[in-house]
Amino acid sequence: MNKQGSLVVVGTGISPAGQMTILTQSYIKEADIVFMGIMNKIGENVVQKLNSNCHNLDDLYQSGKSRGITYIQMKDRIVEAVKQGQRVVAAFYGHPGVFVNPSHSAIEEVLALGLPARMLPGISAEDCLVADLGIDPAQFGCQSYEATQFLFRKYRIDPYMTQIIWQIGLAGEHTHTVLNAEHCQKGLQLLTDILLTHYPKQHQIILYEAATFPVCEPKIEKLSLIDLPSAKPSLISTLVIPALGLPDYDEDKLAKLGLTKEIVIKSRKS
Amino acid sequence: MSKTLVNFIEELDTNAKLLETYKANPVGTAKDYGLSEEDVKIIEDKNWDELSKRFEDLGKAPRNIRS
Repeated sequence: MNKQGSLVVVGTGISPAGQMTILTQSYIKEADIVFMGIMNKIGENVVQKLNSNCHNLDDLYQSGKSRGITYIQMKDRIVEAVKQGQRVVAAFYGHPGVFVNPSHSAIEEVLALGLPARMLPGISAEDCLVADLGIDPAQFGCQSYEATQFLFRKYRIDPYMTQIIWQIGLAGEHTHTVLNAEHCQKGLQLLTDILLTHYPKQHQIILYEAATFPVCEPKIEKLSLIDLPSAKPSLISTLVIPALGLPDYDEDKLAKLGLTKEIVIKSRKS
Repeated sequence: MSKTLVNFIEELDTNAKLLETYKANPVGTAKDYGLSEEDVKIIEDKNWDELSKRFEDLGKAPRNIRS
């Protein structure tokens, strides 16, 4: 009887070894083949110790080649192994479903073939950010988006929510071919101009990078909004704009719920 | 046999006792672990760029392609 192929997509976390769940480690151990998109050689080493049949997806990256093409090729490589009847694990850096295109597309394609596919959660950069900065996304609400997508499209900022702006080092980069953060100055200037319509010039913002090795601390650089255009983010920098605070109560909406501001405040204290 | 920086980083990331010892005394912990002088110097100088150069390729960090 032919063996039925399957796919499990897992995340290895932001640090090299300690953020992999026990279940993820077990799936890696049991797999016939493991594909890795980890970008960290120590992390790769950890995965390779769990399973000797590991294959790197890194060879598909090339300078000047669109990420879109690279991601399709990654997906094709993963799906092909499933079609051959193998129990496949695809292991990606961080959370495999956050900012990782081939993980989602591979699962969709495998499911469309009538074969089993699932994703396991991993620790993402956002999880590290919440822990390192002590920001609770539920306190003020949170708007979380990618810098370039925000600049290109008609999104709206709510300054009463925490803003988490990803991939600030690629702000305004449209070709998906750039592999460094040296071309973001125009994007940062435009982003600053937009943010200044909502926040004061001296509003304190945070440039954040999770620690990718346990020997070092996360990078947390606090600066005034007006100084953002001269910042030097890396490819993994994230910009955090703290909220202005809670907005006023909406008394019309409260009335529709049969409430008043006073009732809500009183019940909160009791 | 001297232990490598790869061993050290991997163990720090999975061993709370070693991590706490390192946080209290980074250079002493690196020396006691058996790292080479060159690798201890990286820790002493907090030369994380060198660490990144050796072990990471940030150009391969995942990115959004739906902008």
